[in-house]
Amino acid sequence: MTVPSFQFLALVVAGALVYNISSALHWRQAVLLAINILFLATLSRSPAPFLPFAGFLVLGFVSVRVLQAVRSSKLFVAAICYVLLSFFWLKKYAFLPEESFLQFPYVTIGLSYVFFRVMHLMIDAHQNSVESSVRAIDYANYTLNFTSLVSGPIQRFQDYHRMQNSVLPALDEVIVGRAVERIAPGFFKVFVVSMLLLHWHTILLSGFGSELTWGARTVTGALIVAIYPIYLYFNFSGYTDTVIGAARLFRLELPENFDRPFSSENFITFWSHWHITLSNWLKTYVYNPLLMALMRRFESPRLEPYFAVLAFFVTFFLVGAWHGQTSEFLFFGVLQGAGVAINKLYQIEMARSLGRKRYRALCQNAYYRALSRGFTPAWFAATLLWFWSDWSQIAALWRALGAAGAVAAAILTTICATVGLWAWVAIRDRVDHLTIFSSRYVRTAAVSAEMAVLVMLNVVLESPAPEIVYKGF
Amino acid sequence: VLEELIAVSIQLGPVKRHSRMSERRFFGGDCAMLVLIAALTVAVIVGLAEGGARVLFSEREDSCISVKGFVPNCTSVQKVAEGPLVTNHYNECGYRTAEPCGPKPGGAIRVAVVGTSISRGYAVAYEDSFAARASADLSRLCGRPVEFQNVSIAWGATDGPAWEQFDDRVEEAYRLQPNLVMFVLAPWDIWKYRGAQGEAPAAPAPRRFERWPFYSTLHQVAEYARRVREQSRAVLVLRHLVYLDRDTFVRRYLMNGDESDYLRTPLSDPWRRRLQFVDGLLDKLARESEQAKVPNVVVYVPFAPQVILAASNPVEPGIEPLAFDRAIGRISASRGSQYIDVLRPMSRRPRPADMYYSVNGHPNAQGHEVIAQAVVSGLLSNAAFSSCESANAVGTVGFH
Repeated sequence: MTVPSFQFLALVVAGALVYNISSALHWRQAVLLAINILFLATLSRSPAPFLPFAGFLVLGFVSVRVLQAVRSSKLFVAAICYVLLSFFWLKKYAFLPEESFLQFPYVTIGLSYVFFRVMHLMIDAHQNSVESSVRAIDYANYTLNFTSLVSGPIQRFQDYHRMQNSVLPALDEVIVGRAVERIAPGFFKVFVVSMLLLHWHTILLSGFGSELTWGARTVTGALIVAIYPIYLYFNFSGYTDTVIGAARLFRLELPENFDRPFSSENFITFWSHWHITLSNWLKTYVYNPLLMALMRRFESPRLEPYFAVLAFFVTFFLVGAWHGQTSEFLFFGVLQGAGVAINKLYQIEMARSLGRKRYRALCQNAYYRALSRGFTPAWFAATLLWFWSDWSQIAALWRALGAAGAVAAAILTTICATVGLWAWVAIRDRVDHLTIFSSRYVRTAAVSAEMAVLVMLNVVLESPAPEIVYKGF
Repeated sequence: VLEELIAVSIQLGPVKRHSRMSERRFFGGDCAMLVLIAALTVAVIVGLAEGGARVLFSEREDSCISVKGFVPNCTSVQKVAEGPLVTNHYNECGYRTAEPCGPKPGGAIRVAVVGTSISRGYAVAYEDSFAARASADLSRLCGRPVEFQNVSIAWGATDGPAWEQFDDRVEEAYRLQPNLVMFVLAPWDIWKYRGAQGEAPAAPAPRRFERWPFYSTLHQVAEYARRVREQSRAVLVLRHLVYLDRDTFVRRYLMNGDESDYLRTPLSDPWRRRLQFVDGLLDKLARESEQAKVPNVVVYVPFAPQVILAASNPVEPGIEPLAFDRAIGRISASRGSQYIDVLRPMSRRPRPADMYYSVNGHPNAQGHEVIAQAVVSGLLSNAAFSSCESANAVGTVGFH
């Protein structure tokens, strides 16, 4: 089953109706488990492809229970290594021998996100941050939650457990309205905006070649690079909106994954607003421990800021490299790590040379902010080349553009992003203060308009929903 | 310092949603009001889209068309949504041809074209149609008038060519005392052959869900929705825009089932029967040709998806864009007709889809230009044009 799709919506509605029959905890847990299993069953017709997935889940559960019962650092390290290795093996990472891989097709959809949940649970269990003993049904419903299984967001177990065990208010029109207000824009983003942007991207790519004039090549090249992040944003945030809305019908509040990322004024902030739950996970379990370990190992106040640069590089290299097993994704990771590390280094050096007060004043300067806001998505768009294409496509793009064309395209992208985002932020700041947009009637009209356009486009295409890019990770 | 660095790592803390959600419960008339607003919004959006599409992509029917053919000496203005406004003038025989259809002028070469919409230049200006272009170019090359008389088969009740008129039209074409008879075929014309489905199977017993109450009502509603969709101009405009992405266009076309199955190999049974039907048509043409001692040529004009697929490499397994074209060529050869291949020259063009109206499916002026070039090149090798300049001269008049 594709998420989002009208079939998924039907499952959510039918599931929510049954789920809300009783507010008893056992009822809700049992129904949620049944829906999770039903959703999983739509991914394969026979049970065999689920066995490796199930094995991974059992391994995670046993590890969590053992780590809760036995406080041993050695055992913790061994369990972490074992789960990590199992994940790499099931995902067929290239550094493992190919002959060791399972030779039959099996389900891996959502495995990366299950992995993050299991790892978080294991680390928190070892650190005694999980209050009670993790029960099998809680573990299964948490790791396999059908609303967030495919591509997150990555929820903390403690948050899930608290919500599941709290006394829930009755499902009323306000809760349903809140759910619909997330689901409808989510569908609209995926089915309409991201699909049209992908079409545009494909058209530009197919028409891009040496037969175009230098100017046309530069503009087309800039558009090809610039459209993809916008498409990715609408595709992934549309998915996130849908699942957050769907979870609300089960009275589960999933964490947000996006918070106006293109308004960010530097690359570090950008990653706090883009795929938030993944970057937070890595900050919590990689950045902070690594930084603390470095500071403990090398006690030098002069070097401490540079440890942060190193920790940032490692963390965001992992953010990028996590996306796939190819060299392109590794390089994508290097570019993410380099972007954030250079950003941090720049902040340190600017604060040192200008002084903290003057640097802070510079950061408040409207022109400086606008330029920073333009440069951030332009850099991200350029790095995404290694995310959506391969080396041969990048080489072909480079050959067609040439060095001068590539520089011109980069400058063009930055200028357009600067001007466009400056205008967008100015408009948004004004619109945010208009009370008319908080009116229930206006919001109903907006949702209806989105659904009308969505249905019209769906009628035209008569084809399945576009794939969620992050489904493959 | 550590605190500061960790603070940087978690930058803004928990995400603040910029939500304008009101937690206020509904009051009395809220539900009805919200439903009304939703319905009104949908009506306004659909109305604006449809109205705007009808203004920007307007259509005008050809008023000279009748079930039996085209009204003689009639002039009409026609427009398809994706095309320009064109004037159609039909001569005294009801053919869309500039020249009169009476006795052939002395020294002139006359080509009688039997075909359907493409052969009479549907949705393009007359001077842009392949027949008019080929007529002008051949007249120049041959140094004497070459006229194309468009003997069109009218559209029947099935919204396709009325094939039962074929015999009459062929006989009519030979009565014009032509030097050559040209038969122009397109996949859609062949698809519309009614006998392709073979013997109608016995009606199957209604399935269980078909006996459910309200099934027939639901079925009627679905059928009505389908008709509305087909007639909606907003849907047409959306399709036009979406089909700018050629991959989607081809993928969508291949989802048409039987209609697009001629691109798949092995050919399905209905398409084998359609080829047999084409064989029958060409047999009739061959017999008339033999009797009148007039040669004939067959021109197969492909649709855009076939041209796009023929131009792309590789194509997905099971798809063979050239197979059907070759099959028509083989049948033509077996009936002694010259076959003019249009698919290959069209597929060699840089952006093949630009030669068609994407939703309407007919070739546009650019497409007719390429068809005309292929036709002229082909005709120069035909005995009827033996007195004209050699094919080498084609380059000097700017065809390629």
